[in-house]
Amino acid sequence: MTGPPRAALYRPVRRVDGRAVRARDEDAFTLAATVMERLVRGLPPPARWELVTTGAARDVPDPMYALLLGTAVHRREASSSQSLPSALPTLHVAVELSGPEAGEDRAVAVRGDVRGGAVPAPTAERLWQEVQQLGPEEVVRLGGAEPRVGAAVGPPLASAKPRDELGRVSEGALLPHARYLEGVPSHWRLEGEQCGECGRVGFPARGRCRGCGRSDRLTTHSFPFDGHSVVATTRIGPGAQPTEFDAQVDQSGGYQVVLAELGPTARATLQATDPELGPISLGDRVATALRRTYAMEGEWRYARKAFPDRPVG
Amino acid sequence: MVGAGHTRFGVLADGPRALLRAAVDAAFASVDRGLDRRSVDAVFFASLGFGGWQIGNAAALAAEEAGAPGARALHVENACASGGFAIHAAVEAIASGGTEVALVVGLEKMNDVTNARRRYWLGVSGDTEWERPAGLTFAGVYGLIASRYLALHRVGPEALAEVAVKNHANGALNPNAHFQKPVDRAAVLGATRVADPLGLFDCCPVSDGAAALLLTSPAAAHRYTDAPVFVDGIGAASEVLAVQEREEPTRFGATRRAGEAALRAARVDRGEISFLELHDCFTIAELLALEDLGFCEPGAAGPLTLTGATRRDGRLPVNPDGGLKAKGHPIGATGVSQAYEVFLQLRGAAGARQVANPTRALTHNVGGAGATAAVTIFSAGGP
Repeated sequence: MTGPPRAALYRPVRRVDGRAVRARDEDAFTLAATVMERLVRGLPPPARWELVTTGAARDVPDPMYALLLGTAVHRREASSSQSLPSALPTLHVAVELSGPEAGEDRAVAVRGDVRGGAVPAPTAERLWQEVQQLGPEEVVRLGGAEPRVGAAVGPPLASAKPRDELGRVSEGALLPHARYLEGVPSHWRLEGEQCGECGRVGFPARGRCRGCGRSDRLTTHSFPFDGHSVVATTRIGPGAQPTEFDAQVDQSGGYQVVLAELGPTARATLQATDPELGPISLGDRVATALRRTYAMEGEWRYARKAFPDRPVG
Repeated sequence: MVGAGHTRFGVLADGPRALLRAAVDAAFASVDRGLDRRSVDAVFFASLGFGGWQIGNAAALAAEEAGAPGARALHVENACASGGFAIHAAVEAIASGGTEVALVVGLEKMNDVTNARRRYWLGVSGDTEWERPAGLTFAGVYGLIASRYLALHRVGPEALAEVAVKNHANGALNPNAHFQKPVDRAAVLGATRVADPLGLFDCCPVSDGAAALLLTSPAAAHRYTDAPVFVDGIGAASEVLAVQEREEPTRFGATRRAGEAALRAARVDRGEISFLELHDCFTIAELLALEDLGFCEPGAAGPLTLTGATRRDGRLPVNPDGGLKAKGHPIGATGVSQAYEVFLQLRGAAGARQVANPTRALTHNVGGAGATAAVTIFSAGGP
């Protein structure tokens, strides 16, 4: 595929009774992010994106989308069938979140320049159907989007208690909200810096070149989301996690963390996710997705996590 | 060094003030011809302030409990390397000519707080903007490093286990040690995994404790004892905080630079050093330190350890006191405790764990996962 795809489909890889069900670290925002970011990757950023949201994607506040896209966002309602075609670059995003009893979780996004800014689809189902009619070269299928045979059945959906976690007060290594926001370009979009003086590419973006020490000749360097080789790995067992991750460890028993090589002078420490895809070993390649990490100061925080970069199914 | 004192390390009933008093009183009691507390010019207090206890102005409290209120007092905080850096601050203050007698005291009271708060605090000294949000405390950071080290050098986990076996054997002879029970290799390898490939016996414990040193100018030392221990050289350095931003995660640049600087300042070769006190917060850390300090090539520390060379009766004894692994690791006290062991060993007063005829020793104290390091070289000055 040359250039970014025109549409993206995503189904969580986790299966309960054969149905795709979001993992503990997935929510409406991460599902939307997973399909949206694939459509804007590599495009020259517009001054702002026109954003049409459907289903659970509607519940995500504007600033989250703006942080994700790195630009201003103008929201339009999908339900208004009188919407005029827009001259602005448009993204149509739909997220369906099922209850635990029925249905599937999934997300779909379409770039408006394909649909010509036409009337947005009123339902996620219709958008999903329309994308099926696009040429295969125009659509990227993510997660368990491809139906697969004999899909692993995940453990029962643990009863997350976000309210309890959100209520947690940090002591000690508090990462204040402002510092968290400062890290979003690196944590969410894998943006690092290239130094115009010595040429070194560093990660994450810290505002100073680790090679020559200069801070005034740095430009943003975007790393690919996928295909990074693992150079170190550990599995955190109960008790070795920072307290922010207590609820997660209570439910999952622990998690894996890997050090992934983004480039010759750039590495990222990433928590692993989607254990259904199997453990990650040294030398494996990993893909990344935006996921929930932990709650602090009353909000969920997000970062990219790693999973095996191999075809699902 | 004319005096040194040490409390028991472990889960202790004593509070921080009591621990400070005990360590300082022991240090004064150890001075052969006595030392008047009022002659202390400066107090250097090493502590992380674990759990939030008296983070601000803690040095004044330390001076007060030392019985030297009124002395110049400075709080040194470089995470787990606070003690090593406090010793350096004292040495430099004395070398400047403005200080004749300095008290260095290190303390951490880690078991006052709940389990949850303790884990918050165990992750405050790493990179809090990237590595911690990925779910790592130090066990996890060292777990990552260990996985890479073992694969890179084709070393088996038994090399890590041997570090634990050796240090537990030494700790069994140290009445101040947190753990005084030997362990065998099978127990280490079979222990619960904490941060794979590191298991429970690869990790140092969370300890309470304090240690204190009395340092004077070299000229004044013989006023207090016939057997002072001299500081021959100090070297300290820092390194990028996050391990992911370093050139090679299995090499600690701060240790390398600090070690080179200390050896240069002391004008000694590695072969002249009788034993080492290395910062083994995790078993992997002792192997890294042996390599970064130049006592063997990268990848050779595991095989070297397996030959028994680093045992107390080996060619190059490492951590005869049990190290952080068995003696315990009350953060601010650790670097001071290493010098306490040197004080005993070089004066032939280490009892059952005495190394045979040591003349010089090197201590190595690391902050976090290598972001800071302090190396000090000592020699026996006795008759």
